[in-house]
Amino acid sequence: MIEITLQLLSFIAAAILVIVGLTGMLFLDNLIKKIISFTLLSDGVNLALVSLGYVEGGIASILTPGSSVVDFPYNAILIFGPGIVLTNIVIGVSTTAILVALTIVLYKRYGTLKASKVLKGERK
Amino acid sequence: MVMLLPEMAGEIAPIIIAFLLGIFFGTQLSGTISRRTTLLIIGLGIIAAFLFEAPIFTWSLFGGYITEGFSFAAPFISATIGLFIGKIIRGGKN
Amino acid sequence: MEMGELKGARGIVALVALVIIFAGVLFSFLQLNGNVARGISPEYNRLAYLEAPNNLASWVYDLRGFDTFIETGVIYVGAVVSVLALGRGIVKVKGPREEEPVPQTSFDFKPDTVPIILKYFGLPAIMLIVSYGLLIVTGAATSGGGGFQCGVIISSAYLLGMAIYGKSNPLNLGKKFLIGLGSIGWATYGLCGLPGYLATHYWQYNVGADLWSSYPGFPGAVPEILRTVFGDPFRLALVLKEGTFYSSAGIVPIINLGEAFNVIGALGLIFLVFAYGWSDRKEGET
Repeated sequence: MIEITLQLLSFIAAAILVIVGLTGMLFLDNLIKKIISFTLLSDGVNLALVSLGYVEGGIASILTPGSSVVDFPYNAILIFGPGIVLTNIVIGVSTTAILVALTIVLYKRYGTLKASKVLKGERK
Repeated sequence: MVMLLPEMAGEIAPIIIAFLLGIFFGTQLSGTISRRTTLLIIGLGIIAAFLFEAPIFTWSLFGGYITEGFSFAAPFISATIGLFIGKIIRGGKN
Repeated sequence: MEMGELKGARGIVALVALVIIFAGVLFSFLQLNGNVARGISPEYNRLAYLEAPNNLASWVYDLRGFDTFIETGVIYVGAVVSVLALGRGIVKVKGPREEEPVPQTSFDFKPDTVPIILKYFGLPAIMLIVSYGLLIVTGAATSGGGGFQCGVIISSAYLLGMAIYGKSNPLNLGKKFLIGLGSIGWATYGLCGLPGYLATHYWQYNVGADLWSSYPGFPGAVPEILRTVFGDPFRLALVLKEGTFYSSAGIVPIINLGEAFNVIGALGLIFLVFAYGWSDRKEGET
């Protein structure tokens, strides 16, 4: 029997976000909705990375006045995940910007946001 | 360990950097600001400076040396003042 | 593919495939559940009193400063590619001209329809947001770094001014200013790695904090003068249970400045070109 913890719940939420994003990217026709689904997918991955570092009863990885150097290493949370997520956000923003730019170009050329019509190549 | 600067340099340096950057971005500002708006911005800035400093960093600014356990984001205030000074120096009117 | 086409056999196949993928993703995540031991990064946690109090910035910089250097390049390249895709003004590529270029139209923000109260409070809000961004970027001496965050905040102030005031934006960042700011930021980031390279043969080594020179097997020693010059401006005294320690974020605040400039340049360029397109007309002309 798996004990239900906050970490377990956030992993499940991350998996749901990933699958919702994947479904949207595959099956939605609107290009903007595809981009939104892409950001949902990357949010799910970010959530999984952040919840990786969760420690039951742990402290934030911040040295406060009066805290002990000896106890700190064994109580602090793992900040590997948040560190990677910082990077991930940067990449996510730049890829989203490029996707939106390309969508604008496609809309100007085809006059529609439907991927099915863009794929058929119907010029406006 | 050789130390050129005092121990609290880490608390003073952000204020100076925020002030210089405020002047830098203030030179790009344009538009007219009345005296009442100036007072409004500085007042809101002081309120915001109390809000934006996390109490957990009690040494972060003046906390460890001047007033213990008191958190106040002075870089915010110095940046705001720097913006005004930069705008006076080289800001355009619009 | 539209949702309406997913009827009958195709819909069932798609549903089964999604369920299989969901199960795979869920169980691979759940394998990580509870498998994280306390202090899984004991090396960094033990060195925490040498870094900034909130040691995430120092930690991330020490672990992957060089990667982040490349990433800031990635976001700048992303901005330039967006500009090229939209604007087609800076670089003229010679090639087969079968298709007509994308027409240059600017998106209408219609500043006339904005309520007067927004126009009145727009400039104070922009100034406060810029101050907040500067607070974030200078907070790296004590807390987690904020180069990227500062850049996003200040560019959002720029976007706010664009949305409220149109072309007479109070935060008047021009194209050349943004391009220069981005390049200067990236150059600052890169050049800050030079002292670390000369001293220890690691590019982007944090000479101010100097975490690793006491470890055996570390190549090269950081001279005292470098440690003083780069470490002292951001040195803090930590009063802990075991005594007073002197920690420093080292060159992380300077790096953050460079990254913030880079991100302001990149995102501001994206916003500018998305709103008005890229044209050789001077700003203010219609």
